[in-house]
Amino acid sequence: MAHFEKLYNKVLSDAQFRAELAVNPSKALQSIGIEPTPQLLDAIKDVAKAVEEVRADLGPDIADQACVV
Amino acid sequence: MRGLEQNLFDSSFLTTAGQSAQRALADLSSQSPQLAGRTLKWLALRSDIHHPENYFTHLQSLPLLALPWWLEIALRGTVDLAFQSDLMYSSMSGYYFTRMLDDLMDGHQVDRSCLPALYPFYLQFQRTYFAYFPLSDGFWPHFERSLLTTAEAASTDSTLDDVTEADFLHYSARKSAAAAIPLAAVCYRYRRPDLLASWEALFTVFGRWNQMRDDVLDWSEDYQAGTKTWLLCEAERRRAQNESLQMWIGRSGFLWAAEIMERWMQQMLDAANMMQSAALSVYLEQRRLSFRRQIDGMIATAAIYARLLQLDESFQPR
Repeated sequence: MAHFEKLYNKVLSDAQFRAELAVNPSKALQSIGIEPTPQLLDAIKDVAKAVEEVRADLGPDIADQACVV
Repeated sequence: MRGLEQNLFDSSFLTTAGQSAQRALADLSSQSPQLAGRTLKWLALRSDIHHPENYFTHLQSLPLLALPWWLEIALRGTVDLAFQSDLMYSSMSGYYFTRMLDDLMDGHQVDRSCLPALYPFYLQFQRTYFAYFPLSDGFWPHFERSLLTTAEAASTDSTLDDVTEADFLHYSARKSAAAAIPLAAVCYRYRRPDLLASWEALFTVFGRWNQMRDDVLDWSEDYQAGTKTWLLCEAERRRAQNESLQMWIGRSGFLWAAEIMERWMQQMLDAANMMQSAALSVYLEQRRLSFRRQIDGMIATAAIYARLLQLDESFQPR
């Protein structure tokens, strides 16, 4: 499986991994065998920012229930 | 979110729910104080034990207490507070019984010293009805049928390896069938058993909608735990050969579930309109809007995460 397909699958289906990726992306990426290169960390940061915008738009009550967020 | 509930449920409903919850736990404490102490610890992990009624009056909860209340209002224009309080006491006790059993069936940790609480919870659930209905009353066959439907559905649902639409409709979505018991109580107390079929039919559709909502919101936990749901089994069946289950859920699954749920919701709204319950219609509209926001958020988030699939493999050292 390609690296980023593995990352996508993990991000989508593992809430603990999602939380770890937000707090410590390098550690989270390494835990699934992905090298945290600077380009990749930048891309992850962009994705996290876009997700945060959706969360803010939904409001905390709804965002917490929509667990994929 | 509490503001929404305050608009939806009037103060006498919320006060009665609070008093009934306190009574259910106080009865447990007075009869079995040691057992009650241990059971409250179990309960505290699931709800606020200082306001246990909030668990039942939250907008996102199964409207276990509200449906019988709205049914009585639709039927008489008012409610008998003592009767509704008894129904709430019974339903909350019955819910705790079911919840403890569910926790056990799902393999969650339940301190074994709490398990005997199943006896008083069931006693409190059932004995309430003896005060209103002699054994010969037409209420009891409905009580028995609803309870046994729940038992049969919960048992079979726990054995399913591959959940089809038929399995979902007959088992997964029927685990909550016993929640129609207080509806039967209202109909039989006021000698209107003719009204039961329409309210029960609406509740059956609500059970489908609510179960699917749980399956959608909890899909990743279910996936991690290996729990089989219709959504996850459908993902296995429908995903393309080069598509992971997660990809199908993110690209198509949320939308697939939302469309099915919307059809059920429309069915319920049409039925509520026919049943002339304004409160029920308002409640259903609130649930529809709230879920739409949730699912839209999930779809938007999944689309953002899909950007990860576009990342260049050259980001990784060879």
